[in-house]
Amino acid sequence: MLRKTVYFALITSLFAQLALAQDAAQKGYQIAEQRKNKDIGWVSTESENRMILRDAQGKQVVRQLRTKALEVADDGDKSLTIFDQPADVSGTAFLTFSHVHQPDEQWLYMPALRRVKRISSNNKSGAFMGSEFAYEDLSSFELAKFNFTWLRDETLNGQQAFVVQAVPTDRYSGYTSMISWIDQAEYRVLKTEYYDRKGALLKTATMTDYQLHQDKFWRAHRIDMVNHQTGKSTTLSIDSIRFDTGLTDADFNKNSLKRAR
Amino acid sequence: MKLGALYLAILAGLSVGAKAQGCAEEVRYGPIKDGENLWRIAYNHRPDDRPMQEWTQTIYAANPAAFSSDSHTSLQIGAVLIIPDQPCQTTSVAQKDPLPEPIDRVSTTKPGSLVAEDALQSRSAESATTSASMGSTIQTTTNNTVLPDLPPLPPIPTAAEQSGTRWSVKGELGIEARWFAENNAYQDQSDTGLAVYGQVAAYLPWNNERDGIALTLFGRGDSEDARRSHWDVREFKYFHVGDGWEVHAGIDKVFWGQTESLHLVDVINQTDLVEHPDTEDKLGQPMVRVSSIGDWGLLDVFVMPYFRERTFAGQDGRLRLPVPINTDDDALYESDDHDTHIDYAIRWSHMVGDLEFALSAFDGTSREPMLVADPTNIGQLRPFYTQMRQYGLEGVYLSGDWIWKLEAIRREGEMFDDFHAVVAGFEYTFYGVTDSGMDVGWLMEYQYDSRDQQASVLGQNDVFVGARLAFNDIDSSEILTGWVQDLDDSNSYTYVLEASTRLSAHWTLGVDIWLFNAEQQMDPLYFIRKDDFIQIDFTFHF
Repeated sequence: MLRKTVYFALITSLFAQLALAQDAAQKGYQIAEQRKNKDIGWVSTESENRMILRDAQGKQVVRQLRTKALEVADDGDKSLTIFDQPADVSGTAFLTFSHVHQPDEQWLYMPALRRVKRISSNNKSGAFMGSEFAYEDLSSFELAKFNFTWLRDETLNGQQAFVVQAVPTDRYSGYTSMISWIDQAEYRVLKTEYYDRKGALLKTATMTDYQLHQDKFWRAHRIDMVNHQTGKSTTLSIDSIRFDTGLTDADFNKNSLKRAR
Repeated sequence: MKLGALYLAILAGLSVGAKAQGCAEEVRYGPIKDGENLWRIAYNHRPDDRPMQEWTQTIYAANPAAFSSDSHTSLQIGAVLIIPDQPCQTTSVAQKDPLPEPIDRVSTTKPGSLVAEDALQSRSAESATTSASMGSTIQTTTNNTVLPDLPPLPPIPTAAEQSGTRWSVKGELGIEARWFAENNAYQDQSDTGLAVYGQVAAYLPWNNERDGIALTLFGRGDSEDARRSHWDVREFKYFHVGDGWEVHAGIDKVFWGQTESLHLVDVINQTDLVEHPDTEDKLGQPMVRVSSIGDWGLLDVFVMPYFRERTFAGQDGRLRLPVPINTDDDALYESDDHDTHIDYAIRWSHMVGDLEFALSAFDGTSREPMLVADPTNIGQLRPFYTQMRQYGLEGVYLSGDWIWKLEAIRREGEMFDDFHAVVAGFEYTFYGVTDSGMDVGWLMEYQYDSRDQQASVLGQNDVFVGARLAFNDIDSSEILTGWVQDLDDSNSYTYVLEASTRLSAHWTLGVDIWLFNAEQQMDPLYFIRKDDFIQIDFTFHF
């Protein structure tokens, strides 16, 4: 009798937990979906950026780059990134087609050889131009790339935030999980913690200097990525950004990559 | 079943989340310096009277990445330790209830003291007037986490603002030194060489970069070899971009190919061989190129009205044949049009999923000369350029961590036996192999040439094995090293190491090591067997 009761209790508690877990997953997905929906319709952007790389010894180098991005309906976005500084990498360019259901496609243009090289989509965990940003950190945010779980609500810098865990669905991801603080008013990501394949805290990104563009689109003009395991950090800043600049598919192909200067 | 999986996934995910919660009031310590040990650090951070044995184990368990092995003594220099306030592994929240409770993180952090959030950040912020600029955003409400202070950004360069008209002048100036390890094989050669080189590239676009002019000039002065002192117009062209098509007219440079150890298919530009034995330096080629792109791929059509002769080392230079090559007089040609023969080429490339391929055809003057007895100077050689047709195939296929590469050509002509050649292989990359995030790529390629009976060919049955190390440091340090071994002759091989790093925002350093070995007189490597060299170059980029 007693055993039966214990058994029954276990079963009910298991189901209760399952239901709760489902709720958390659903809530997590809804928050992510809201975040995604808030950022639909920007069409295209052109921005001037800097990447400030710092190593553990405090040495610092500034990379100057330009990014053109094109929104693609029902798939990941397209982007073209051209490096201007340091002078020895000037003209190096990346063309990226992000995808929702298949791996991203990526090409690198090396100006000295005039060579376009396809890059493995499995390099997503690799460092982007020596920075603390992995290729996957710069890929467009797509719901199908993660399983979401709402963890809790929290106040961050005085802003009410959802704390949502995202587990990458791609086995080539360098992360086991990412935990993001998303502000409840505008669904902007304020901070993300990245956990490595061993489950240890690897990096933290903090997004600041949020500015509103076109009355609709919030952009963090400063993202600081700190690697806790190496002591290195990278700041990615948007120094200027223009929306809906008339870019089309034709600005994102191998010919435009080869023309990039 | 699906629910079960979901449940597991959430539990698994939760252990990570819970870890973060359990360690909420953690302190970070590091980076670890030489001579520090876990026991000492644990002792200095011990809360109350926790047993040291248990406490060191707690810190050890919370920092799996900071130790190189299962031993407590394997603490790695440079690691940053998370010192939890309680054992992270046994978070009661995670075990009692799989669903995380809404917990507000309680932070005892005060503005200016950044220890709890991020010790690293504070280090980099030291130089700044800490929290003076960002201080206003930090709040001290009890149930509120705060973001760390951020280091100040350097001022925005003015170039970033003048993006409207994108004209530019860029370039580089460098000095190069070469040491040859063995005594010269031929008279007049020296064991060292010094050279200065420079390149300047101007780019003048208009009409929103739909039209433009590009000019790139290159020059070198060499202390030993007068032939290596030369200059060239690498690029001087006008371009126009239409809808789905573009035209480039003038002197230009075009690369075809996918493999790393040999560029078989690449026939548009002549090799500037005197520059470097890697054959990757090219002379500017006069041409009109029309390119169109669509769902069906990318099609390039080339018309080349003028031919460029290959450069060769002179009498005083290393890396040459025993007999001088006469390039002072005009080269010999199969075509009566000599260097004004009009060459044509076409290349179609396309992409299907993870496969990219290209088919190409070239009809015109061979870029690769035959060396024949000089009709006017006894004892010298003269380049003889035949007519040829070349059909090329290129492929690259991405499969997991593998990149498979292929280049194949068939060459036909009246003056030589038709032949084909193939180079095929793979690149396999391990990303972030070290804590500092270094990428290591392994390369292996097989080279075949059907002219295997004529010894004048390199890569007729050879294997290339190499590695590419990208350190991913802020100086973009890289090493590419490889070995080309002739499978028919164990004594015939080439070893290459190319390393580069950035010294400052404008200066880079490059080191090249090339070793050649051959014992058969018929082997083309035999002529340069004594030309093993180390090259160091400093380049200023502007």
